[in-house]
Amino acid sequence: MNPDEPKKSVNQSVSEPVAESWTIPMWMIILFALLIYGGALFMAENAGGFAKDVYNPYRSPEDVAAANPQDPDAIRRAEGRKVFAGTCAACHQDSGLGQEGKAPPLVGSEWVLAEGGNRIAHVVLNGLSGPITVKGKEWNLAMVPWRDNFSDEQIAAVLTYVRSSWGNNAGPISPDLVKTARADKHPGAMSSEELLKMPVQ
Amino acid sequence: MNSGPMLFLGLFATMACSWTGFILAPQLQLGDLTQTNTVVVGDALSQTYPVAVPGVAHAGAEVFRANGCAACHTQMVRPSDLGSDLQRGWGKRRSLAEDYLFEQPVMLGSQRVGPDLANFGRLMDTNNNNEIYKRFFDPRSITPGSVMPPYRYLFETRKIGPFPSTNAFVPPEKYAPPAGYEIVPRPEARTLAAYLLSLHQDAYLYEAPPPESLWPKKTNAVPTNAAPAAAKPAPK
Repeated sequence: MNPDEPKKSVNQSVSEPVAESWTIPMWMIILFALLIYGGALFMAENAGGFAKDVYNPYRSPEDVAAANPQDPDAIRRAEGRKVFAGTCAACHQDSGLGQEGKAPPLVGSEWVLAEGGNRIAHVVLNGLSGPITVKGKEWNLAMVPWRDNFSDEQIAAVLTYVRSSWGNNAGPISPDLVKTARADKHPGAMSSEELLKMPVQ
Repeated sequence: MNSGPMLFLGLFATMACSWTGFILAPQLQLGDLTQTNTVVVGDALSQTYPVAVPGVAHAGAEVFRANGCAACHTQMVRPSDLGSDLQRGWGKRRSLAEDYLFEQPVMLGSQRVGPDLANFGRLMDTNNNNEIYKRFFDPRSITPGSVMPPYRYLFETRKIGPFPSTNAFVPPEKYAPPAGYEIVPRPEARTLAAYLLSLHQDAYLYEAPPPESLWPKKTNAVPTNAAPAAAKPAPK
């Protein structure tokens, strides 16, 4: 500090800083515009449309869908396994072999392995009572109807599972078939005579 | 100051932009996350995910939080294109927002001074709490040269009563308690161990699906075990 300079009193007010007007240079505007444009392009390409189920390394909802298991029958079968384990296995057992005094076997059963699923769809929807022959053996037990407990999709799933598990090797059942079976309202439980009169498909 | 309103507008716009980006947009995108079902892998059943952790583990989360563990330990497996976490075997898949659905607060961490803990419960592969207590009591007995401080105050050295404690900690030899004494984990150590064992992010979800090798088999493939002869027509 120059010693000759007159000393300023502390109280002497210093004027407030003043903002002067200043024009943003054109190159800066263009640079930022380009940056924003490039960023927007990148987001449009890689942000998966901001869908909440798109995460890296996938870039779009289609990518995620393609990375998931796609065989609808296999997915239906897995869903069916869940329904079976929670409900059907109580009587038919996890092994599908059934149990004396509870339920006939599903493994190798001619009813389960029929060409179409029409008859077993009716059994699951409406229940079953009275004598029925399964694998050459007479069973006389009652099965409750599941019409109100499960959707067409779930019943189709469990039938598909039963028809393709434990060595069973019959085709999948579509929800449409179950829908048709549900539409013809049957009063009370099915009996084996009624079932035999029905078409298999 | 001759342009106060302008200054205010500038500050407001800056704050509003960051609020939109960091709070509003994620809230709109992920704010309604709920439990979902896991993708079916092999013969396993689909399950609800995530599920809330049991009470002991929940209490342990508070111990984890109180001791600042998250300052050095992250809980986030990075995606395959943003790091080598998956190649190192720190997880089977990347972390998702859903993994933290029930965590309050979410202790993601930001620095990896110590290893990632997102899948600690699976990587430990043990039910033996003693292995975990060793990590609290003397981290260097597990990793020589570790910079993790020993958390010995989570333990208590006390005289053995009429019977020795069933859950007494067996420390590395050089810390063996004097004869007639035993080292017992305090409740904090027990709950923290329960919390660490509860950590896992290994359920496959739609957003992070299983690799193709684990996909369910095609339905119509002929099973190998004792297939009954071709579908018999139902009796006419």
